[in-house]
Amino acid sequence: MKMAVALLALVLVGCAANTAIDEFRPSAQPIALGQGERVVVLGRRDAGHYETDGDFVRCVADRIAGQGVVVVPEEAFVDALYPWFEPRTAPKGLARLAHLLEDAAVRERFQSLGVRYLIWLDGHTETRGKSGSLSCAVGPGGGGCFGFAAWDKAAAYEAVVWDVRDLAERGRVRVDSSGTSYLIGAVAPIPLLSPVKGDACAGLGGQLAAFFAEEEKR
Amino acid sequence: MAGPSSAYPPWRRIAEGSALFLAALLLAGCAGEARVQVADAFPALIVAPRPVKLALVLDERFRTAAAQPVKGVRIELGAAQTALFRQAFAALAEELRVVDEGRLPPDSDLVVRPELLEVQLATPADTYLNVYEVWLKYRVALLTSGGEPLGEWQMAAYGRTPDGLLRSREEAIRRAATVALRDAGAKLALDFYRAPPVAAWLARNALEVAGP
Repeated sequence: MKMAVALLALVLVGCAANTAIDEFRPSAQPIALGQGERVVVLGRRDAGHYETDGDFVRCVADRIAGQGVVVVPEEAFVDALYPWFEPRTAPKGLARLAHLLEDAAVRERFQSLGVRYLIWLDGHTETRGKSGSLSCAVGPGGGGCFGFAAWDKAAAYEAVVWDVRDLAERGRVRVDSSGTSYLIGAVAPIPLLSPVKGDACAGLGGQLAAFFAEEEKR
Repeated sequence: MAGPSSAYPPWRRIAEGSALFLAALLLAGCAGEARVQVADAFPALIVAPRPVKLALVLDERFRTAAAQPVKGVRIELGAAQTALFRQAFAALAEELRVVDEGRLPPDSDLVVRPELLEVQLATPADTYLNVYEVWLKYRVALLTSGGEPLGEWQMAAYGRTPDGLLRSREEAIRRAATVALRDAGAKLALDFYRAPPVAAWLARNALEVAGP
């Protein structure tokens, strides 16, 4: 019995994700969010090459919004600014954003949405190091799965905060998370999944929310 | 002597016939064509219009365009691309007249006639990636209001679904095609006045080429 409990505890500990967060801010001053000013969280997309996971972008946006910061939904923002935040046209640097804001119609749209800060998310989650073997079979007398499979997941995301009014970068947060998931076939398949992406979202979202929340705490 | 009907009773023939019909019906259903109707709603473009009177020719072929990029998939793009090109050129020019194949408006500065040349589709079965991708290729011909050709340029647009679980093949292709059409709109906004034949025409007519 003790052996089984120890084995279960070992597996559950193995399922936990290791998450590291690095933060950089050019100034110790908190990010000021004035009356009516909002934030938008955008996923980096490069036409034909890669796309930051939309679910992850929504997860981070929800985390920030949960801390009392008003977040404009990504899709509403991209539609309102069409076609200047499409994968082909989205500004990759502040110089390009400054050029875009020279257009009165673009500037007016930013003002009507109340967007003061853009948070760009860039990164991905990948699966690697698959091992083990699991097979399932069904027969007239019933079915079942037998075996054991394990795989590693790693998530690496970086968030960059742009100040639209001052055209300056206000900070960067990087999160790295990794963990091993298991699938045990003991008649029924038992998944023991490592919450790599969830931890990365919670870490990144919490840290970014703290950027803005600090102003309110003062 | 028993005849064939007594050895092979009619109920059995009916049952076998019904089973064959059902099997054929099921197989036909499995091999059915996926018809994908792309939505024709796009956001308005934020583009500073140029002082140009444009005529946009959207002929019957363009308005009802449908493509079969792979066997078993038919993408109906006509209504969506008509809406997109109308919106894009309405934003690009101060005055826009949309016409079909008939007489060109004589007071237009420039006539634009887009044509869908090619539609390509890549599915997870082709690429081993969990995404659907759509490529669109257009030829945009430029004419004078009298119908004389001024030049043409080709434009490619690309769209893909987000990585992840997809509800259905049809929905995935629809989303990828919609993203590709949005990309075509972005490309028109970015490149139309910079395309060599348009830029040359603008230079001849001393109109400014600028924009975000």
